[in-house]
Amino acid sequence: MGITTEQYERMIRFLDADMEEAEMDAFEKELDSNPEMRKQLDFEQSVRDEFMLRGMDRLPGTVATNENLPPPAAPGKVIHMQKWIAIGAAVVTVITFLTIFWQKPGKNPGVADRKNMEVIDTVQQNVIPPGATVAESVKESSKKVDLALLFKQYFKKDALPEQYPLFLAEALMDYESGNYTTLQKLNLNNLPQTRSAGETDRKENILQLGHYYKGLAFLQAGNTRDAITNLHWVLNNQPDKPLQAKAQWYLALAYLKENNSKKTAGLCRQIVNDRENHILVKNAEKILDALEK
Amino acid sequence: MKPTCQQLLNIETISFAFKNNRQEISESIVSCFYSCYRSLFVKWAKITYRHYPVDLVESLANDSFTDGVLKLKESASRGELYQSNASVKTVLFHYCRNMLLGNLKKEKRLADKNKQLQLVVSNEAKGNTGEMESELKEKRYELIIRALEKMNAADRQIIQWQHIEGKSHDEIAAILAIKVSSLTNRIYRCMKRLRKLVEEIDKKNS
Repeated sequence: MGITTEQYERMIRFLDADMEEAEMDAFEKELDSNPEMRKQLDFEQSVRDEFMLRGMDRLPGTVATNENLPPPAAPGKVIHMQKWIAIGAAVVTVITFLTIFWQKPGKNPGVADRKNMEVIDTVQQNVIPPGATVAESVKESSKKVDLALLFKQYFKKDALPEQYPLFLAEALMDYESGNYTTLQKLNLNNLPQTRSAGETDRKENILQLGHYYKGLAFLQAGNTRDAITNLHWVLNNQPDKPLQAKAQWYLALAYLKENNSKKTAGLCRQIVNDRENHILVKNAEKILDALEK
Repeated sequence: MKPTCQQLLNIETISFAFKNNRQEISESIVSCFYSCYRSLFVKWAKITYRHYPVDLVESLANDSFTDGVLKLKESASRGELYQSNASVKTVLFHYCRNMLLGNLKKEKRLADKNKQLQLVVSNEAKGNTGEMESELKEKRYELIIRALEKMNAADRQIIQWQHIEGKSHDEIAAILAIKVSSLTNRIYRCMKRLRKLVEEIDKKNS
């Protein structure tokens, strides 16, 4: 049994919780009688839950449009069409230019082939310098894709330490369960005063672990800028060796995500030289290899 | 004359009441939330999370509803509700749903930990349940990501708008300059394809 468009519309409305009570009752009955619909609903719900739990803000290869679109449909349509008209016009202009300059040498049949080529070359260099830029940007974008892939290949969120400060407990538990917003919002500038705090609850420990996991939470959510700030904080405040290696690793990954291969390579080299964590050393070596290629 | 829930439950009134700390209207709004939406949300939760024990879902849904209302109040007092084009109900249910999901996961984690403790006490293999659970979760996520990678960019973008950015069909249709009905069809085909790919990859792996 398949699903009709109307049924799918109802399913989406149900998932968006946009139904009244009576309608929901009817929908539940419909679900019971249509296993395909139930399966699709469960699948869509699980996709939503997974994205939500992991605080995903962007799928690979997509453009995030965080800014709010104007509510009515028409302006969006107009803007969209204007954009395409502009692109179309640009393409037509480029084609026209190319056609004119390709045809020019053809009008002089006496001119040698080599000369023709020179003319074309000159035209491409002088009139359409974007030719070179396009090639460069294609190269650049393929490089970007590689770096993004590399990030995806190596980024795995760090597990929680065996013991952690009570102050961070809730945020870290949320982090473990895939909710990264608590950590992102965690205010580390106003720590509570604790007397006779044990090693775990020492202020420096709270700050270092707090900034470290905050960085990871931002990285997980795709906010590399804040991830970098927090991870730098850790590295600038004399962490112990194991934490330093991990912070360097995630900072390297954050730069990788930002397409900054130079900084990534620098951090990877430090990890390799320090030899603190052999798994990270191995991974850093692999990234260095990949970057050199 | 006391305003009705229908008059109170709109973005403008709610934002005004909570932002300007208008006690009386705020209280009326909150009681309208409870009278109009709580049972509906609990019902929705029971249908959606039917794999969990009903009692657990019911009690967590009630708690999550309260948390969701608090969250909406916070957003409204910061003036953030204006940024949303969705209805009050959709925004409220979005918060409640996120809370419920978090609470369900916490509950599941506690149950897993209890199981692990029981295993340790009875000198059986240690900690397998929790690891298996997280492995399964990881696996499901991996499957979805791998399936998404196999899809074309246009389909992925639609999923991004629909499931990550939470855009309405009207908004997406406006961006793509197509009819809403065509978009619904397209989204359905897209999600069906994703499901098929997930099933295929899972089958291959197993």
